[in-house]
Amino acid sequence: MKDPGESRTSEPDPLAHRSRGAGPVRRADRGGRWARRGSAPAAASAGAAWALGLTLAVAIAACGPHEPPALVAANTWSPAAAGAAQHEVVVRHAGQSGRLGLEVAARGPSGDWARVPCATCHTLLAPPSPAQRVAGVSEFHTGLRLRHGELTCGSCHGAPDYAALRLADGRDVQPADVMTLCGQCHGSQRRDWEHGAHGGMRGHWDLTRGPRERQTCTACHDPHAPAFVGMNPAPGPRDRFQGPRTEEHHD
Amino acid sequence: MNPTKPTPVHATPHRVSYPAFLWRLASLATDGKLPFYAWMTLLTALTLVGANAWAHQVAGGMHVTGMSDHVSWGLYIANFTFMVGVAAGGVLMVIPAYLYRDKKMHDVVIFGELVAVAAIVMALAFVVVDLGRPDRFWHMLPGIGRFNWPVSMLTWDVIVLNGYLFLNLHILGYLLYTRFLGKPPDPRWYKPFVILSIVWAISIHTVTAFLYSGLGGRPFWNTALLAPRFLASAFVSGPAFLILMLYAIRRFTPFKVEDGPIHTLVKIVRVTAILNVFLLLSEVFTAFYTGGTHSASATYLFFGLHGHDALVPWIWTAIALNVTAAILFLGRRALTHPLVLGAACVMTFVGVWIEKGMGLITPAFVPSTMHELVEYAPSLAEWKITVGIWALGLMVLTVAIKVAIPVLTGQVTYTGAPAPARADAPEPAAAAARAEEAGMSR
Amino acid sequence: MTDEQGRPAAGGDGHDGSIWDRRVSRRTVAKVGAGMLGVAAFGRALAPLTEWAESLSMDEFLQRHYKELTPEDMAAVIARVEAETKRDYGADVTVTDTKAQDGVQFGYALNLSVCIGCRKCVEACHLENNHDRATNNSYIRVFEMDKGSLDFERGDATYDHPVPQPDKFYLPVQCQQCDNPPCVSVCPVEATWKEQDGVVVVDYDWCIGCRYCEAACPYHARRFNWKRPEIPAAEVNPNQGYLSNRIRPQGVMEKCTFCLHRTRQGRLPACLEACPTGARVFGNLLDPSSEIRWVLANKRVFVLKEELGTRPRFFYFFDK
Repeated sequence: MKDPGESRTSEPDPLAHRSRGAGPVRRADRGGRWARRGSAPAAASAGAAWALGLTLAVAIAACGPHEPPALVAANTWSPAAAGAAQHEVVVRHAGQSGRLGLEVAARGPSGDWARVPCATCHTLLAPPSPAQRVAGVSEFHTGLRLRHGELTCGSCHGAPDYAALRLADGRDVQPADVMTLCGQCHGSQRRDWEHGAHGGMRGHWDLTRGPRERQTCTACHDPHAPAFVGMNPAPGPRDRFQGPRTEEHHD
Repeated sequence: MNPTKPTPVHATPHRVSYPAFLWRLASLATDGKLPFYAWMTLLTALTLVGANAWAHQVAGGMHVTGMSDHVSWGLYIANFTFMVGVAAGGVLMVIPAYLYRDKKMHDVVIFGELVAVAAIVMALAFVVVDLGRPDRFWHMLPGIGRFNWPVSMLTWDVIVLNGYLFLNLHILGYLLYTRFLGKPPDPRWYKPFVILSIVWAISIHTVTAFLYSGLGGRPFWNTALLAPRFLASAFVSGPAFLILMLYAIRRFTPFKVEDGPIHTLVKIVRVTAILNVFLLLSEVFTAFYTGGTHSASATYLFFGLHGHDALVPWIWTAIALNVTAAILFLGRRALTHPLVLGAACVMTFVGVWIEKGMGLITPAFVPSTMHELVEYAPSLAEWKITVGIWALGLMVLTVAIKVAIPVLTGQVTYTGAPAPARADAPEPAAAAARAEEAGMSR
Repeated sequence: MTDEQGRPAAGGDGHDGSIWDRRVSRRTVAKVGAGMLGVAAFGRALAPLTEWAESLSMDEFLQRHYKELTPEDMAAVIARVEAETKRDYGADVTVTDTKAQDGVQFGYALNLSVCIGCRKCVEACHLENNHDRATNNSYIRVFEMDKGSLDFERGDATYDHPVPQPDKFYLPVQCQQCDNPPCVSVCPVEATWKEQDGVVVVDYDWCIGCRYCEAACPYHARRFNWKRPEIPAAEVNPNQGYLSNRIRPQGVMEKCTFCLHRTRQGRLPACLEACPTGARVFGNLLDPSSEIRWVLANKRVFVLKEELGTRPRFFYFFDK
């Protein structure tokens, strides 16, 4: 609404409107100041629009995959650190005294199940044939089941030291070094175990700061039936709104 | 309209007239007839229910919502996305008015900006209620907190949405204030901003689309077509709402809305509604022709996946609404029968709300990035908060229209009462007598 | 001057004078009263917020970002966290803030021929990281996959039968500590970042809980605290790291940190120690004699979703 005393402008008032009972409304667009001055405000607004668009474009282009900070250059591992005193890696073998024995269903003097030393019988008996199969054993060892490929008793056990293990070339190896025996056939697992990729560990990844504990093969694999025993898994996630999976599959 | 000759307004400093302007707006906003009070009371009640539900959500944790680690965005972000579109579309009228010099559109441009303001307020509210720790809001303030700009698209969104809000508030405020003063507005103070608001309106929805389309882990969103789809649907839902609002203004206020602007809006929507459907078809083709795991989310949305099909009826309803509305808009009766046009507007508004709200957000999370199927349904708390924010937005819009129309029509202007210290000040008793008469005549 | 209804007023506009000059009408009184009622109702509606705010300390509210904390600030923060844990959970804990070490880049490998899907790693993570007990939350999800396919759509993380099944293999997934992490890019407040030794961490006192990182992660590695975690005092792991396994507050994100409270002290992560088959291999990628380097050099390793360009630090391999 214009004050009649005001100087007149030919600029169309964007809000000028005809309503019920309202006053006169100016409708003519005579071009006027806006048209004459023309481009200056338009250029400013166009420039603002271009600047915005350009900023958007540049920034979005900059949002591509960005390289992580130069991690390697400033963060190299120094061999000197490895030369520092290393803690030991202890290989635990589960449950055994270090020597084999035959477990019998009788309590020993310590109160545990008695373990009869192998030599008790085997120094008296004739040495079993290397091809002796467990099924053919008639005395003692009768509860034993061997599910280990085509192996026989003599594959791993033999004269003269039945309380130790015997390699294929006849040398003895102590049960604590059973990896050497298993590794004769399972070379890749032995190699993986050696490099920490099989069999797990506890303790420190950084041996300069603490020790580590490993296990022998027999800690997890029963040598007579080495297939890893299945187990019931720990409970699964109890997420909100997630039920058990339906069995439908896509075609 | 002004029976007395007013004091020349250029003599009154702004520090006097501007507070008078604000005070006048405040009194206009709180005064009306019974339907106005009833409407505002209803909206206030709904807002309070929503506020209370939000307070419980903040205090007790977001487990009151239906969201989970699999579907971690839901109704709030869906509504946020939709409201950004409405805000962008609200300014659509500016383009014909200013770029194409459509004089008739000038009359109603301001209503588009009012819708934009209300929609942005709603969008910002939806983001705030979606935060797990709204008390840490200050962490986002540049300079005070840490603002991960320009890498994080969410920071772009913060900038453009708040900028858009202030842009529109400035344009509205300036135009209404000069109208109130009875002065013609100086083009240098609003025209550049109006042109900027056109670009900015496109940018707000583009940035919002980029929020989603940049995520490589979500193939449903990771498409170049997302920003064009957003803009197409914004330019459908915005004008549809504007048409309905203009009808309401025509019906409930003394402001006379001519057919010209409405017809221009219909002509715009005729194109954008078809474009919206076309872009959707383009996405559907790409997803289903190629197939594979990449289209699992689209399969879930349109046909259900492994027996989970909660969204299927919704999306097909949305498609039916959008297509029907597009056909209705194309017909001649859209320009001649307000009921037909109104129905088409309602249908497409609801259709876009479904398709760009839940129909866009939820499927990106189903199946999850590890292809687990966990569905999502909003909880009662989420609905309460959502309805509360809608009520808040409608309150803002109602108040904005309520104060804008009297100023626009020139029924409310500043008469430039001089400061009491001046020699020609009217007698306080006479001023009180006039005030009493004015108050009693309401 | 007219009012909005178009009726002319007798004199000038009564609002132009000082407001103190106006006579107050009944209508105004009613409106002011209704307004005050509305304000009171608003305050009542927001009452749960004031109760909740009382449990927050001003120190926590004003706390700066982790990267801006001086050692003194850090000590004060840790003291506060330990005190709050004692108050809220009844457990005495020790929170450390071990920084990343020079010359160390963590890497992790997983042997898919050896994993049996027993979920002992899941359980160990749950116990080590002080997760909420009710949801059995964990950073690790183990997927039972069909042999011959890496299609996760045929994978199942909810299996509940003896393992391993003969026609399946098992693939645990946790945070991959990507070298190009999408979660870090999208965080609006820089609450998550990649540390010098490769671990992507979250500052739990800075995160605003917008969950944009959870939307961005392609590996479903991030978890959100939908409510306050609940852990019995006796089960709380008292050896806590500020950036890793301290009990997180409600409303913030969290994720696997390669147990940095352990690994930055040279120890193995909890999931690795729990694995009964030794399917997990962890170490320093920069040390040529480390186990992880041997695996990368001698096994056919791959990463998940390599085409996304995230460059994970978590490698998978089969023995055969």
